[in-house]
Amino acid sequence: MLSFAEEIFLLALDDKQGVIKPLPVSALDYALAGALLMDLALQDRIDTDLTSLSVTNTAPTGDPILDDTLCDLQHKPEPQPTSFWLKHFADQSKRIQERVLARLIQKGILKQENRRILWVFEVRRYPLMDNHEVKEVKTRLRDLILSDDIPDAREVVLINLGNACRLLDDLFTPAEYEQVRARITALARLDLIGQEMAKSIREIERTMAIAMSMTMMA
Amino acid sequence: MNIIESKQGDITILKAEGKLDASSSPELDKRISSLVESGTKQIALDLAGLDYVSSAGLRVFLSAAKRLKQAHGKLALANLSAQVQQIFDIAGFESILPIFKTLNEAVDACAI
Repeated sequence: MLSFAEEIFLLALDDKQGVIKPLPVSALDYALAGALLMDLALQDRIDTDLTSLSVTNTAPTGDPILDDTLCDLQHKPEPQPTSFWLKHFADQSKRIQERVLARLIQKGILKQENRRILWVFEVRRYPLMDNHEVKEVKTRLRDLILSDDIPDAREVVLINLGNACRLLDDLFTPAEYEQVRARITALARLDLIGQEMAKSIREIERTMAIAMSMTMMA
Repeated sequence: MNIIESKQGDITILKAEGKLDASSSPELDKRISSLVESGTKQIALDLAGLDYVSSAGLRVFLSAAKRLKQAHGKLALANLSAQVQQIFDIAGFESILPIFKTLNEAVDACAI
């Protein structure tokens, strides 16, 4: 089974171009941070409520990225709000992305290609080698959202991550998306870590929009 | 956390008391899953004595709702304390779970 960080990375990848799709500002950074925390929560290593996140089990998961995250979470003696940890790990997003990419390459799902544009600029692309996992997750999410089934905790996390990065509209026709928009919002709300993550992304977008409008007015 | 089980006709009533967090949620999860596996299709959860629910606790309700729906059964919740109601409201659980003010209403809603 893929980790949430691997799944959201694959959902965010333009599989024809082998590059990350255009996403809202900082969305992937926060989605990866949220993915790490949500994987730890579903593996019973952390728990959260409306005020804080606490480590409930320090036993390693066997996943090196998650275990490093779990170690990091133990460095603060007092429980911190989930938003604190989301920012902490979002700030390390570049390093996390590199590790997630390396794992997807190692698993044979992606390959790395280096190309030169105008013989000068090197561009790195990550074409899909095996699209089975991506197809499977997209089909599962589409079927679930179109039905009135109750999601499991894993599906809630994927809907939350996909919605925060605005990647779910790709799964539907525009008419279908209008019909399922309210259900997506309702399902994405069911996870508290995911809610905090979506809130952080919205706040960054709002700050950026204000900064841009002020620049334009100046 | 305490879990007290009783029956009202075909409906199983589980009264949960205390805190539902990472350490106690496996107990309630196991209790509900073993009831469903043994053929119980109508469960009313009386949460009057539950004063705290964390993320891990919320996942127990999600999983119970899914299990009972797959088994063509019914789940209803009643008597949420103000603290528990707040977390349910924020997480929007009323969109997937029938929540009632009284246990009688929840029991009636479970009747098939």
